[in-house]
Amino acid sequence: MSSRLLILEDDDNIRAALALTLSDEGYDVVDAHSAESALEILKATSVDLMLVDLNLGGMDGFEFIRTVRPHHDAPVIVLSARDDTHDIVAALESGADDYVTKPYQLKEVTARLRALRRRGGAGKPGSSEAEAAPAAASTVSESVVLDSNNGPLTLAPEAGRLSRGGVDVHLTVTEFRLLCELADPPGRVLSRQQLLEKVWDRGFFGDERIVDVHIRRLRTKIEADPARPQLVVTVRGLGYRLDQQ
Amino acid sequence: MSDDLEPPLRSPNAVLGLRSLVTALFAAGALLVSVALSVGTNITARTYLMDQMRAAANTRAFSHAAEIRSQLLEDSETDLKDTLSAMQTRQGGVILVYYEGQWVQSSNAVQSEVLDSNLKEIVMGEGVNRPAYIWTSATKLGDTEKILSVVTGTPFQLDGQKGYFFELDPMGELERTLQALPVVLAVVAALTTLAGALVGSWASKRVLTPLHDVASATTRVSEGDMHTRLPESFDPDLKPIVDSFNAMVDAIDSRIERERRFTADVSHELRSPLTALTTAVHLLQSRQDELPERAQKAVQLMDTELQRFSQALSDLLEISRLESGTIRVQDPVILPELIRQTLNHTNREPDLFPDEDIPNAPVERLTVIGDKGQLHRAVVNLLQNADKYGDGPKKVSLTLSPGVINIHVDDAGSGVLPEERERIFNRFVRSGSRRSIPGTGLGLSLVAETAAIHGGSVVCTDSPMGGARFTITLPVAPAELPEG
Repeated sequence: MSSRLLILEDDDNIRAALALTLSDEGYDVVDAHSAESALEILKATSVDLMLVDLNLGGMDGFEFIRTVRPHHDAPVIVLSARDDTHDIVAALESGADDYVTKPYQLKEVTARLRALRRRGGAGKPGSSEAEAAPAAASTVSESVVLDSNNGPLTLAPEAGRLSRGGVDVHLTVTEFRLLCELADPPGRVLSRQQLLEKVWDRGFFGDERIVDVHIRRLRTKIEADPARPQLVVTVRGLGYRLDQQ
Repeated sequence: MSDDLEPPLRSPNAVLGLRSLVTALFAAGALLVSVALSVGTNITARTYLMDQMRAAANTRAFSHAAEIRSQLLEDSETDLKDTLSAMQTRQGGVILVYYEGQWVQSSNAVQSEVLDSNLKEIVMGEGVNRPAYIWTSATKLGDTEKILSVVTGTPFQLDGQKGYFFELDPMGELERTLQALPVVLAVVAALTTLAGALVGSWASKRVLTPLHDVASATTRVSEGDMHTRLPESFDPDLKPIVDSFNAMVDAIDSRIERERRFTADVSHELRSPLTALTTAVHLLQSRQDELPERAQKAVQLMDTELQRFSQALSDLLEISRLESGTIRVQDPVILPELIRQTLNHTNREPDLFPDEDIPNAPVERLTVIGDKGQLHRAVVNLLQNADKYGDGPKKVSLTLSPGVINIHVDDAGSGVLPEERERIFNRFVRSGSRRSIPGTGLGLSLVAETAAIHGGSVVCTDSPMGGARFTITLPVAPAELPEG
């Protein structure tokens, strides 16, 4: 079974070229020329990955990501003609998982897609892929109680679940992978570089802001007070550490 | 800058700064006015004082003369000498009377010969015979000091007998006053001049302060801070300067913004078709086997040219990003690691950067503050430059100098002519004889811009290995690393 990929791009030629090429690469491609029609598609079908252009007529890419994020945990890769620092950070903060700037080499896009699809598969056995499990599966297989207060907050990597007091905490696929890496085992400091490599499969020259934005989003979902994090703490100059409470 | 734009040679008197000039002018003005006033005051005061003293002396002398006359009237046998001695004169004053053919005087301090002959002529002369006075410098007997004195003379008549009365009034005090006056006035003039200089200095400073504000604002603008504006002024003299300065910065700002937007718009317009093209060509390439041989060659050609196009476009975009100042130069970057990763990333031999060419220093000394992606691109560009023009890079090395760290990229090509070594960092300049080599002519200018935003520089010299050496010099990160 191939991964279903939604391409949201308003430039007909780019969309057609991407759809042709990526279906050639083995993706089950659905495409949309506007955010509105993409939302229609998402009502009817579920997707495993999304490629989203930021510059769209009507509803723009930022707004689209903000709209779908509460209901869809599939990784979103932003295709941006804008290489403005602000736009990239804004897209990540809207809920995007990664980005590629135009003009891109297609191998860059496929590399990003592969990284997030593989990781996604590992975190969610339900949508697992043959190639997914061995590469990225966390060695944490048993449930871990991360926070025994107000909860408890329990991470079950195998089941792909995070719950607080028995109620599921909704994480995106990438946030879940990030949390699993930090919890493997808890109390270990991971540098931004290490996290980029493990979760995003990005090398030395990856953008460390991706990690920072995801950590921020993760905190808003699991910390009692995201402004004063107790669970996922910043280790000055080194990276991040998960402290079991 | 061309020669005709050179500023004209300054004339020698322009060497004096504006402030010094204003100060000097104020001082000169104060000097002129105070000297004129002092001279005037001196003359007026002198005339007035002497007039007053002389009038008093005259009055005293006339009353003494009248007294003597009335005493002689009462008693013609009066001992004139005693009478004169008993008279109240000013200190050092002497009264001389010529009566009945002989001189009588109140004291022997002076001789009747001291009397000026002109005065005697007027008072005692047959034809004239009237009161008169004279200023003289009398000398007391046995004394060398001359004292300014007034001598008043008057004739008197007593029963047909003629007498002549003279009184010498020494004016020592007046003389001292008149001597001290010019000194005092000179001192006052000097002080006034000094005060004028101080006022001039203060006034020029006050006048120049807005000019300094303009100068520092101009500096900030030239450093790229386009938010700099002069505070609004309500001073009618300053308002035109302030307003036109602010208008000028506004104009420059909006022009830069227009150009930036133009570059962004153009590149956006170019990016979309380019993206569609590269994606489609990628598909063609991945299905190459299904194409006839001639078509395969055409696809290959398209791919090469598209890559070059892509490279040029992203270089242009990169330059406009560097110029817009949105690059974050704030992360600690460990250079040996950056270079190793760059070689790895671009599939080059790690041996190009031998361990023995890494200075033996703590890692902090090999760290700079910067943008990893930009520095990576700069090194990549130097490596590509060596590929194109220097028969490939031969060695990458690091050296330390006080406060800075140098990245050298050596090649073994034919080197760069000395006269070309600065020019090659300009945009769209490519080495003259190698037009056929693919390249955008932007690579080295990007390196230069990147080095500049990191507070460093790049130069081209001769490599010890025979070819060209490109050296990026960057300031070493401060000891206390910011949060990474």
